[in-house]
Order: sequence, then structure tokens, then C-alpha cells
Amino acid sequence: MDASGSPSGGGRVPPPERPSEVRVEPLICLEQVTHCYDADRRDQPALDAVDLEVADGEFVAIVGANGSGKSTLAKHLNALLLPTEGEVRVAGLDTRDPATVWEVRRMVGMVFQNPDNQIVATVVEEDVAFGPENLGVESAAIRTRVKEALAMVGMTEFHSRAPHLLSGGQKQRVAIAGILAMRPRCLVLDEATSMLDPSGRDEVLNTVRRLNRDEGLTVVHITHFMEEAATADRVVVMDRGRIIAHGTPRTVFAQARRLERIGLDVPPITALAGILAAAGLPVRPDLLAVEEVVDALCPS
Amino acid sequence: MSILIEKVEYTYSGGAGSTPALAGIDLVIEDGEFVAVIGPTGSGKSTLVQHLNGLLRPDRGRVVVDGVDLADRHTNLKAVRQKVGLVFQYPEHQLFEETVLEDVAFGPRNLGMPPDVVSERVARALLTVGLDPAEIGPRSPFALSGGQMRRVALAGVLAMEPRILVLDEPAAGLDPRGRRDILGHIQRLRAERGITVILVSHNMEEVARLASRLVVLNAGRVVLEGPTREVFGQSDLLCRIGLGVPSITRLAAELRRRNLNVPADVVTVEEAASEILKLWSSRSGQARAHA
Repeated sequence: MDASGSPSGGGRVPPPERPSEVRVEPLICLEQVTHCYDADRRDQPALDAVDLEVADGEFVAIVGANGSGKSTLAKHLNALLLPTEGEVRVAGLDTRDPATVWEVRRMVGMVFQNPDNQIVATVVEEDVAFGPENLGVESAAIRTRVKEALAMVGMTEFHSRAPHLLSGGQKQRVAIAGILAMRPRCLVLDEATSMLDPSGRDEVLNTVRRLNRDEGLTVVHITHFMEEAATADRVVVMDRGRIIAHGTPRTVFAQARRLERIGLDVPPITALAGILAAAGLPVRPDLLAVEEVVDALCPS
Repeated sequence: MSILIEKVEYTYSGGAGSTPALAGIDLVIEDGEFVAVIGPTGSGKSTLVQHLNGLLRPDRGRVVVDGVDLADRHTNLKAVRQKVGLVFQYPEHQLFEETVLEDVAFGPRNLGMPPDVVSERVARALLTVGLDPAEIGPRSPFALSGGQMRRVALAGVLAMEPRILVLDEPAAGLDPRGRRDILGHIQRLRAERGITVILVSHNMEEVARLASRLVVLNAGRVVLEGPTREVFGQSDLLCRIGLGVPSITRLAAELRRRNLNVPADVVTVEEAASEILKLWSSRSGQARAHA
């Protein structure tokens, strides 16, 4: 994968190589997507001819400065926003097609920033049941789904609690359970960890990582925390409505200067590795984890 | 201008038997200090800082700012709020005027200052947060970027020229540059005017870089307090209450376990780099001597 991106920023972003010869349609496919919030300001699109593919089962992190278009992009993934130009397909369905928009929203669930704005019911299990009820799932099946979904986010023991008494991390896990109960294929986290304390962030991320690994759920995680992005399969960097770099966390975060220029930074461990490498120590500049730096400095 | 917090207890009304948000807090903050308050969600951080300018009054105990007891019903809170500026979480949600200038002027005008003093203070406050009053001033605050809106909201508090600045998660939700900007302005302000800064934050790396002293809250109590380095030396306790330590501090601990004796109290990237380089050059010096 070309981590440097194309200088023009409009480069196509393919999913990781698949072993099979047959080309599988990626779960999510954006083709030349442009979005203008204000029809009179076509010269300043929030998204500017973005191409992006997300493969089934991938964990993709999207990073970028405030106003770079991350959230606008996220809202295109389940038809909360429609492209002004270009096309978004989810499992082959065009998000502009009103006949299938609810199927798209069932397949791609979104968790937003503020845990307090996403809970609708007064009891946890009712909140989780809200989605499948809306889908018209019959009630015995709803009960099973709610139970499964709460178990998957580790919130079973809280099923009869009042959501407002939960911590931020627990509320976000309930919000995720509400999406899981709709049997989605992709979970989009739109800065869903930004209002949480460190343990709340860990709770949510560990849950999401497990769902990705064990249940094969596709995850798109939008974040300002570079150390969170460092654990994704792939990092997509946005700047002024365009994708300007993409690749494995290692290749993306090796470009510290470039990221700094667009208002981002690299995880502290990578910053340290960069300094040590420049000083001639046997440390690669693209390390991401504490353990990697320890192994490089003190080989056992 | 020091702050004395003595045996402060506070319980939000509603529901008998509700647990206290603050369960006996004792704390002294000296003039000119940069103190960070950390703790898990619900530990009482926001409740505590709202006591510092009298927005909340303690059920028991005292909060004394510059010799004035805020718990006293006769205290003039207007005078206190001039000395103690409180910047809430997501302060841009409270912007409401049609222009940036009007918004920043709201506080000092409310204090009854003459128009020329108000406009002077507004300009100074905007410059302090890196915004050009002539360029940004006439614009609607709602047409600005998230980082700019946050800075306008901060300028609104700075225009009151407080001696004590209390900030509740001032950088939450901002991108890395936005975070660096806003915290840089606060740091500079403190260096130039010697004001006292009390920062509430969830970001351990940031706190490590900025604060000279940390106060750790858990369940409405101060569970740990001291110089930043010493507090981050207590990683077991911090992890137990759900906070953790900066990844650099964790790295130092791991290196020590592998016999690379980086001091346990390094907290920033720069410190760690210089300590590791120092150890490395002395080690390779020894290797040469043995050869």
C-alpha cells in the first residue's frame, strides 16, 4: 500500500490485498464523493472527490484536524448525508436509493461523541431494544438479540439499570449494544471516545476491538487520539476534505513532519522513537508500542 | 492570591441517600501555581472547580479565595468571579452574541466598565488567545472553526482579567494542533502575568507536560496529591482508579525492569529522550573502555 498518498490527495484508497483471485466488492465504497453543505459555496466542499474502500472485517481509523471532513465522511457511510456528487455504496446498495436507505442504516451503525445524547429509554435493555423494535423484529427475537448484544459489550449485569446512572464508557457500550441488536455489518465511531476518561476510552476500544476480531465486525473509528489510531489495521488521514495519506499505522505515523503540518501529531512513543533513531540508537523511527521500544533498547 | 479548601462536602440534591459528590476535600492552592486536577468520570472534579468561584456553595466546610470565605452568604460573589475565571467544558456552547467582539465584551460590560476600557480588554483578550481583533472581531462566533470558537470563549473569560483561571477540560474534542494552541496560550498567560491556573484534564500526557502539581480525586476525595513526577510514580494506584500514567512513564518503568536505569519519574517525550541518550552514551563509553 502506498502510504505516501498521492500529492494531489485524490488517490484511490484500496482495501488490503485479499488472497482470493476473485474481486470481492468492498463492504463500503466511496467513489469521487464531494459534499457541499452550502450549495452556494461549491468552491469550499467539506468533502472533495474522496475515494475510499473499506473491506469487510477491516478496522480503519480516520484522523484529521477539526474541520478536515472526518465527520462529514462518517455521516455518508449510513446515508445521514448524501453526496452532492459521486456515489457511496454499502454492500452494493447506493445510499441515495430511498428504497434501501433503512437497510443501509441497519448495516452501518453510528456511535457519536456525547454519550448523553444517544440514550432514548429509561432502562438499559429497553434502550438496546429500541433499534430492533423499529425494524419490526418480533418480540421473542428482540429479547434474544438484546441479551446477546449486552453480553457482547460486557454490560449484561446492567440490563435493568437506568442509563443516566452509568459512566460515560458504560453509556457508550450501551449505545454500541443498541447497534449490535440490529445485526449490523459495520460500526462507525464518530469521536465516540473523545468525552471519556482514560478507563472509559479503554473500555470502549477494547469492546470494539474484540467485536472486530471475534465477530468480524467492520469498524471505522474517527479519533483525535493518535495512540488509538495506532492500533487500527489501517489509518486514513484527512486534510481539507481530502484523503492525503493512508496505510498501516506504522507507515502513516512515520511521517511525523507531514502530520504536524496539517495539525496532527504522532503517538508519544513514536515521537520518542523518532528522536532516538535520529540520534543513531538502534531504534526504528516507526515504532508504535511501549514494548517495541523496550525490545529495541534492551534486546533479550 | 491563594485558595484554601477546607473539609468541603457537597451532595447534589435530589434523591435521599444520594452519594456525596465531594466527601471532605482539603486542599491549598498557592498563588501562581499550575495545578492539574485529575480523576475518573464522576470523581468530583467538575463539582470541585465550581466551588472555586461560588457557583456551588459547600454543604459543609469552607472555600476561601484571597481571604474571602465563599461559603459565607454575605460574600459578594460578583467580586469573587472577577478574580476567579471559570472556563467550562465545551465553553463554545455558551457563545451567543452576534459578533465575536460583543461576545468577549459581555463580561467586562456586565461589570459596569466604561466602553473604552471594555474595548481595550476585549482586544487584549483576543490577542492573548492568538486571534486578531480586527479580523475575527466583527465575525459571527458561529462561523468560526471549533478551535477558534473555543478560543473566543476563553477570551470571554480572560477579558475579566482574572487572577485565578480555572479550566475544565479546555482542550477536549480539539485536534492535536488545537490542543497545543489553547494550552500554549494558557501556559504563556501564566508565565507573563503570574496568574494561578487550575486545570481539569483527562489527558495524562498533557497534564504531565504542563502542571507542576497534581491533585487526584476519586469518589469525592483527594486520594493522591503532590509534584507531578511523584504522582505519576504511583502508577498502580492511578491504574486502579482508572487513570493510568503517560505512556512515556510506562516505558521508563519497563526499561528499568530490563536494567536500563531511566529515572522512574520521566513524564515527557523530551525528558525520556535525553535520559535514554545519556545512558546510551555512558554505556557505549564503558563498552569502549572494556575493549
